[in-house]
Amino acid sequence: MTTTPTEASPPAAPATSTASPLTRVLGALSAVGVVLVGWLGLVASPPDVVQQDSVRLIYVHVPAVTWMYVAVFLCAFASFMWLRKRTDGWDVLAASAAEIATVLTGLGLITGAVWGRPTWGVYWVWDARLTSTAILFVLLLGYQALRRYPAEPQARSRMAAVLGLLLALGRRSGNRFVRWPFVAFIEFIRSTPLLVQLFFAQAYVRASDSLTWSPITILVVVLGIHYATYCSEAYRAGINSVPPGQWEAATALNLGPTTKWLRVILPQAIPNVLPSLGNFLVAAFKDAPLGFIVGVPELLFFANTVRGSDFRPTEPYILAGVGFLLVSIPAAWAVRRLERKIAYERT
Amino acid sequence: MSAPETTATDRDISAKGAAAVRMRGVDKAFGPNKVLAELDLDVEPGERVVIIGPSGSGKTTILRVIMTLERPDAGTIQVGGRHLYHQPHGNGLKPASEKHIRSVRSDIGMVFQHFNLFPHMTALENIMLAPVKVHGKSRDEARARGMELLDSVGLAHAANQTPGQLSGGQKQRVAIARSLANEPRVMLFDEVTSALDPELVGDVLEVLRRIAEEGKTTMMLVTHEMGFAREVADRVVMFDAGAVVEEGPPAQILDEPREERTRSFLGAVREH
Repeated sequence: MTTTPTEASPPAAPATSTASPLTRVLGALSAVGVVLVGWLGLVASPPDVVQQDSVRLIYVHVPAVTWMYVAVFLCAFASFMWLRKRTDGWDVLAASAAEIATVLTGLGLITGAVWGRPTWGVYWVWDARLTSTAILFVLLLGYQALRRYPAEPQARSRMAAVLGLLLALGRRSGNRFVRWPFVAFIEFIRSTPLLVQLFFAQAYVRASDSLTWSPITILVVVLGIHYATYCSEAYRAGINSVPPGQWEAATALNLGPTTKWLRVILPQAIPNVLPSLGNFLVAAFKDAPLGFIVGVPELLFFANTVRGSDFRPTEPYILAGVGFLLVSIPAAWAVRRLERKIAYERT
Repeated sequence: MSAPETTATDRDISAKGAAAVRMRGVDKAFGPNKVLAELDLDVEPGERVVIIGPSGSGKTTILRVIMTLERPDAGTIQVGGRHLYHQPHGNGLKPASEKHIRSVRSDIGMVFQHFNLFPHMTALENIMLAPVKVHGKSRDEARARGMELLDSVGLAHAANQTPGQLSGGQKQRVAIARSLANEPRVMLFDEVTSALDPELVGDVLEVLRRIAEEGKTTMMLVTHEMGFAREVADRVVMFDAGAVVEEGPPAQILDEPREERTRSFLGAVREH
């Protein structure tokens, strides 16, 4: 960045890029290299015997994904170093690495899908690797959004949400094209019965050839998503409940984002959220017997089995009920204790 | 994020004769409501400026745009010679990065009408937070300085109490100490006695008087305490409808105002 001081001799602007003469040369060389290698891979190389021309995508896809992992790791490392050293260079490095990772992840997902269609016959399967890559992509976009937040009151809420849950991030995004899908998703999940979602997931898994989830996986995933949408709203409400004056005091004291969130906002937001989270915990636990209908051998299932073999209708169910109480009452009690411990005198 | 404290050279550069605060053509509107209209205002280093005016006149907004709690719609603000919302770019200016704003903001502190202490921390922790986290001071150093500051506002005994256990006047004195711990060159006081019971106002004003006497800190105060304004201010600025009505030494503005609007405002205040 060039800074020509104009009036009142302002100080040199702090570094906002990793650029140096050396990196510019390297960048130019890389650009030439990318064009050259791209030409070799996409045009000059012969088609594959089996995959024909679509093999060429591999020459883009594999390096993209490989370097995506390198960039993500670099971003994580630089973020960690920044937290320790607080020197601008690490922050800039993390930002640069994240940008590269975002582009490469997008490229990897697209080329993978285009390549998958002729090779596997499908664009996409929801297996662990693809799904986690998609989630990584969304996380990286979220990270980019976060880095660009303007320090204004509205933006806080946007920041806020990330710390709770990724879902809440999108929910509060200023960009409605980001926000809308999240809102729609959260509202859809919250407004349809858990039972229906379970049946749907089970039917979907049965009909799918690629998805081989066990009943317990289905139960965990559906319960997890269902309650995550509730939790995201609870976090959002908790963060919004921190009075504006607290945010302003943090600004007036020139606190950085990390200090502001970890020391000022979250310690006040979390006690507000705890009662709801505790309720969700107990409610999610009580909803577990729904696993019965998708074939998870949980407590109710055993009670049913015992009834079938011993022909005693009531005792097994009473015992099952006692079993639930044995867990949920201490859980509720523990949450209440935690609330009390974390509570503070309000002004 | 930024290096702990702006560098010594930064401070030296900005110290050379530049105005503590220089506002030029600052506009701010909330919806259709124009709160600041092309405001020009200069405050000299060490000067104590009291801003008076009817409520809703925008006087608090002046402080809030300087503290970066509101972003102006137009105009420039310089603090200690450095642009707050702009960075030099070629021969002109470009909008400043967050990092630049943060670096300039380290020269500014603000005390609020409603204290805004962090309720989950003790008085001492409130004061220590910024020195440790922003300026990279050791906890021992920050604690020692924090105790000194608490002592100077007469609250050394309350170091380990949380805001909930303190009276309004005590809270405000802790808030002032917390702001002082950052060693700002410019301190903004936004109706700091308005939320207090009358018998608690005196202690807070006493602390302000002491800061004024030290003369190191540039002070901008929005207040309804006319007696205090007369005693402490170098200059009183009468503000209404987003613009300066008149300004001058306290005796002139408070006793012989030229403008009708000032007269009627002072009349209304005195009746209470």
